[in-house]
Amino acid sequence: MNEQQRKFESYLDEQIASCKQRSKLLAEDDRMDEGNFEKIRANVYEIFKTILSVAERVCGKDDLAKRGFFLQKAEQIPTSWTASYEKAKQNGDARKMHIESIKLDTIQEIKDMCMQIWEETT
Amino acid sequence: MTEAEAISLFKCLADKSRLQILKSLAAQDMYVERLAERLGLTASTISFHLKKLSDAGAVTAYKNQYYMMYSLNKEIFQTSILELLQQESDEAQKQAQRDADYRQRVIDAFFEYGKLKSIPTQLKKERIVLEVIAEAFEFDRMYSEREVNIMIADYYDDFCTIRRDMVSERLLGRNGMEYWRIKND
Repeated sequence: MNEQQRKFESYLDEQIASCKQRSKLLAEDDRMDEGNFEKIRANVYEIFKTILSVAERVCGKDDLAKRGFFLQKAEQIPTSWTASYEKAKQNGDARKMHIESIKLDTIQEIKDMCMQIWEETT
Repeated sequence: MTEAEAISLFKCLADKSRLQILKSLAAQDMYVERLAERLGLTASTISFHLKKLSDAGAVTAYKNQYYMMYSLNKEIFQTSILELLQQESDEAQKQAQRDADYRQRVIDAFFEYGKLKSIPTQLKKERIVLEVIAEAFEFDRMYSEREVNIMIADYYDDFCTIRRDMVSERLLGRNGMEYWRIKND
């Protein structure tokens, strides 16, 4: 595992831990729904942590291929979330819209961080 | 308010952020961004909560120029919890059916060809058995003790115990040697 990947994985771990911590605090503060939103965020980070490890397995030591694999999945996976968001918007379902937007915002943040880490270290 | 609506409202209120939104709306009508600013939440989160509150009937929305304004549905909060508890439950019919089924099972277990097989040890079951026997008695009619004994003996040989228990369960009234069937609600 190279430096970028280590840095990126540690970023994902930190985000997962921090979402889980916020979720716990929100639940303790009787804000269950907002606590669940944090769990949703944590799930997205966890999905992409898994993808990172798959990229490692699939692409071996080819860093460029790994980054390409990761970003490709980061484009593919959210297409269903975008569709679901649009459908909710058409039906005025603010609840669903919010949940899908949390997932979409989180993946955007992950993509931005991925780019940033790779640019910083290359 | 139906039972389902009450449950939905209570579930919705059991959240600090939604309670804060309602408190803000109790002071004045507001739009999403204003609430977001006031409560330190994102507009999207506020919209999520407002949708839940709106579905539960706690808030209503109206258009005011460019903004969608939200207001507290004061009417729903004027319902007292006691009123809700006193309303007939959606479950009432099912409960009544379950009670009737239980009653029938007890009758089937303790009566055979119209005769009582034994006196149930459980008070609840004995009450049911005594009620069945009490049905043999007419309302608004006085019975002598002998008549009572004969009528009970049709069901069970130990008529003394049954007669005493029917009086203590207030199924039969007694005045000296005269008995009558008590009207229960």
